[in-house]
Amino acid sequence: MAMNAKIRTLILAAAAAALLLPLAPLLMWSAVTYWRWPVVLPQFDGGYWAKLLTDGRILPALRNSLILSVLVTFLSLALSFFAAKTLGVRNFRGKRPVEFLLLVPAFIPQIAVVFGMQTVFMKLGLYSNFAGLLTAHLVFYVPYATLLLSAVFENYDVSLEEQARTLGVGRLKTALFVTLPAVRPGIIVTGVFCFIGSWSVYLLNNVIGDPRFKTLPGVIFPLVSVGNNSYSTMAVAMIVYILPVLAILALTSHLYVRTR
Amino acid sequence: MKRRFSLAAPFLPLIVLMGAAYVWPAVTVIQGSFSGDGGRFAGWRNYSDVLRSYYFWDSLLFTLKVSLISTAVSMALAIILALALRETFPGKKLALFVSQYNLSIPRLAAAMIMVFLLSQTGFLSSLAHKAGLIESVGDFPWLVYDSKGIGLMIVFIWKFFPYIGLSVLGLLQGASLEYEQQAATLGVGKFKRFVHVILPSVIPSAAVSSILVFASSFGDYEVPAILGSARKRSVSVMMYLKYMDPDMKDQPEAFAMMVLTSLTLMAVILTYRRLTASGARKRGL
Repeated sequence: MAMNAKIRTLILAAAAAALLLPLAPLLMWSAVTYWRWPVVLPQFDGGYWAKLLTDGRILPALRNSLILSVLVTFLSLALSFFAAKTLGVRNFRGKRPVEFLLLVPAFIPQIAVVFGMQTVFMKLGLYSNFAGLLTAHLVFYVPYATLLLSAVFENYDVSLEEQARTLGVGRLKTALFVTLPAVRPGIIVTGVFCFIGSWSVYLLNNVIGDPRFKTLPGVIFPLVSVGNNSYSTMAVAMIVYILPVLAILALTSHLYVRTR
Repeated sequence: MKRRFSLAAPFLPLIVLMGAAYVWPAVTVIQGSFSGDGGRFAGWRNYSDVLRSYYFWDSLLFTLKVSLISTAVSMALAIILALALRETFPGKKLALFVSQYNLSIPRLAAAMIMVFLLSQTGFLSSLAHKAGLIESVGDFPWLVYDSKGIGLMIVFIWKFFPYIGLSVLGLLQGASLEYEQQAATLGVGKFKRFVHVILPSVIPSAAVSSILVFASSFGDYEVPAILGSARKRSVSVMMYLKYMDPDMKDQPEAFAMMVLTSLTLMAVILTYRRLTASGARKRGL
């Protein structure tokens, strides 16, 4: 069913408008200090951008969020790698139930377990510190990464490894130079999804995390929910929050859709 | 024996992590839901209290409505988007990137973007005034902070339809094209080809991603906390407030709510899986 080119252009233009136009007020708000209804085009004066460097909240929170989410991403990949490989490459009884169990943390609302986590983490010495926050994030992204990566391993040819081993290549070298390159695109995509997930979470940081270790959502959420903060500050914080993920997505965008 | 160990060994880190930091907390929540004054066993009392509470049902049904509508609309838009994207055409790369980019917008930011755009003093309202459609702020409809959940649905649909669309696209570019050409050669009309060839081939993958979308809009805390209404609370916000209530006696009831909403969610997902699986079988997939 070859789609009529006019209809296609119409659909794509509508989609682009729906996806991009909502950004307009956000971008404008970041560059004005004063903008009142019903003015459509405000006076641009640089808004809060001028004060970003002296703001003591946004940039430190950006650094904290980067530390946390990068660590969550790499640890999720490392902890899920061998489980995902087993799940993807081998066939065993109970494979489907295991896959379903891995989805449970993604399905069940975080709010339904987070206070249980708080109680247990207090007993384990993981409450209100960085290790606890990291663990709390890993709980949600290790199973998720395992599931995504196992799908990658389903299309992976194990015989490559056997050939390397026959040629006398050691285990570690085989893993590093044979297995890893073969599944690299899948690993990157999985990593990006873990990063985005961890980057977006506010609830865990609020309930489990150290109040002194503020992440970007930890700074932004009170800004937007408490009110009487300037929209300009919020808009700048929000753009700082979006840009790193947008950059990562732009760098990896060719990996998400298989083109024949 | 050795084979069994080699099968289990790679899962050890996962088992330890999830056992200590997910299963144990979940058990704590369930335990909490049965406890009463001073931690004594309260039987089913918390549950019967919750089940008789108007606010619980109101919030549960509201959240179900919002997330079901969001998922259904996202899925329909996703299929249209995927159909428009699947052939090769000039500018396809750009079109793909535009469809992907909002994966990078965290829900928290998506919610705030919609407040800037849709609130009564927001950008659309100003435009509507300029176009002469409204005279005062009050003439503009409540699209965020509203008790019908319109703002929530807009955020979820905006955020999720491109995501489902991309996973549907992955499938559409695969095998279905061949059957479709065969059907076309046999003289099957456009509409019939859509219903009997394209739709069944995208449903399995759309079903998986739509379950994820349903679950994330149902359980989301950040979006309703920002642009939800104080009169109609989403379940996550309701449970958060109940748990945080200064009156600590509410905590066991909050735990019972957590168990009940999780069970409701699992029931919806399992029913849905049944339906899509049997639907796919009927079509011979």
